[in-house]
Amino acid sequence: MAIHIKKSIIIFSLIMGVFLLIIAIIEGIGYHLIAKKKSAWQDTNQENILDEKTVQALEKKNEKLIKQIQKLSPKGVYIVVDTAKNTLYLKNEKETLRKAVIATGKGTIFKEQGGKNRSWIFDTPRGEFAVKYKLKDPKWVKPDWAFLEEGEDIPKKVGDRVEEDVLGEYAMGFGNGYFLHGTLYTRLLGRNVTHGCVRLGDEDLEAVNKASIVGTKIYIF
Amino acid sequence: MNRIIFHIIFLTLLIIQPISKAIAGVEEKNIFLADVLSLAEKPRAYFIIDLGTNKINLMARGISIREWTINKLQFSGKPPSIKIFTLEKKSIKLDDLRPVSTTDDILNAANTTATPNNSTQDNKTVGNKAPVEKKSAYEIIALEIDDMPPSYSLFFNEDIIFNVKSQAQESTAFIKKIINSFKQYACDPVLELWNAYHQKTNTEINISFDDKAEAQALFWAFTDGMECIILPPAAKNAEDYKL
Repeated sequence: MAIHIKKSIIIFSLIMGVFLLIIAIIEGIGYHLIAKKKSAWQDTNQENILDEKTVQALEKKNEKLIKQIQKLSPKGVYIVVDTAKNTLYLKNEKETLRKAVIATGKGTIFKEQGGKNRSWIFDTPRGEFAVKYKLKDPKWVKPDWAFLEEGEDIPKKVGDRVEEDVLGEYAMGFGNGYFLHGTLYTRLLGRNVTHGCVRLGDEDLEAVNKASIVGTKIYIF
Repeated sequence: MNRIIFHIIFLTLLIIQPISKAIAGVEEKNIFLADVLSLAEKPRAYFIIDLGTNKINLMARGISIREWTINKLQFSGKPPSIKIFTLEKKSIKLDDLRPVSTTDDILNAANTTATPNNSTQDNKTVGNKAPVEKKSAYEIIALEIDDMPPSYSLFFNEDIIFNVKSQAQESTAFIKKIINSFKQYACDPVLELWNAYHQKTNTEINISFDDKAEAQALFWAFTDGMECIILPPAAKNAEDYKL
């Protein structure tokens, strides 16, 4: 009986030993492959040996490329809008002239059921824009969705769409009906609540309006 | 005599080695700058992901408009070359997160206000979009940064995957650390062998942020079709790449 148990223990130990050896070999090869790839990540493109003339030509090309890139960067004051943080930065080159808490698009989808079956996505557009025109004491011409959202009928006369004193003292249009403008609802600054426009507080609106001209670049992300 | 020749060859090799690295840097920089120029010429934002300095920059017209600092970085697979990559998809679609409302919802809400005991009102889902929750008049229904996922994957062309995570909260950090260690020391070598056997050439880059909001902001900023340049850690003189 004792011999039988001893035999079983030896066989079991042998099997376990072989099993652990296989695992160790697999892990070892795996580690070797990982190390090989890691060194490849740290050490690329070392095979190209170029002569001095080629290097000088490349360096000249690089200088030219840097100048070309720098030429593309905005000149003078520009505006950066961070729709995630609801923050607007008024900048000049790398210097931030003003940081403002704003409200941007709420990102919802609104569907009209019945009627024309239209749908709208209330996002602030992203990309590169420019101030196209500047308005003093702007009036809001309410679009169709504004009436539908309030459960009202869409008026037939344009005059019935006009609402005064809701957009603040100034508005700067940057295309497709989107504006940087003021707001009555200052407690909602810092939130995503608008239908796509960028709302600013009174003081910030005045500062941005004063600093910007038609053509001022706006970068929205 | 042989010894002298050996020493000459050895010394020459020692001198040539660092020069060749520097020269390779000039060529790499040229490729990088040409790519940056082609991106900066477009009226769209783009990313420069520098795995050497752990920085992610959102750029427009050659200027940085937002910067993220990666707190932890791991990579596996084939190192990406310096070229322009395009974001093909995200593991979570932004459109699936958008709240949807309809003109019928507004009419129903108005009716509910008029008759507060109306319990037959339902929360219908339009298409495959999330249903609009009935919230109080003062609650804002919007898609905001807090609604963005803190962990997700970004899939680029040429089989490049970015797995983005934010560090776990203190309560779960210890457990996650154990799981990660097990994965790193036990599973990854086996997986590497498996990938080598199946000749998989994908590149996986795992990045994590200490601040959850940073991971969410990166998800927000990355839109489908966006282009980026990935600078591998081998581009040691990262300062040289600054414009």
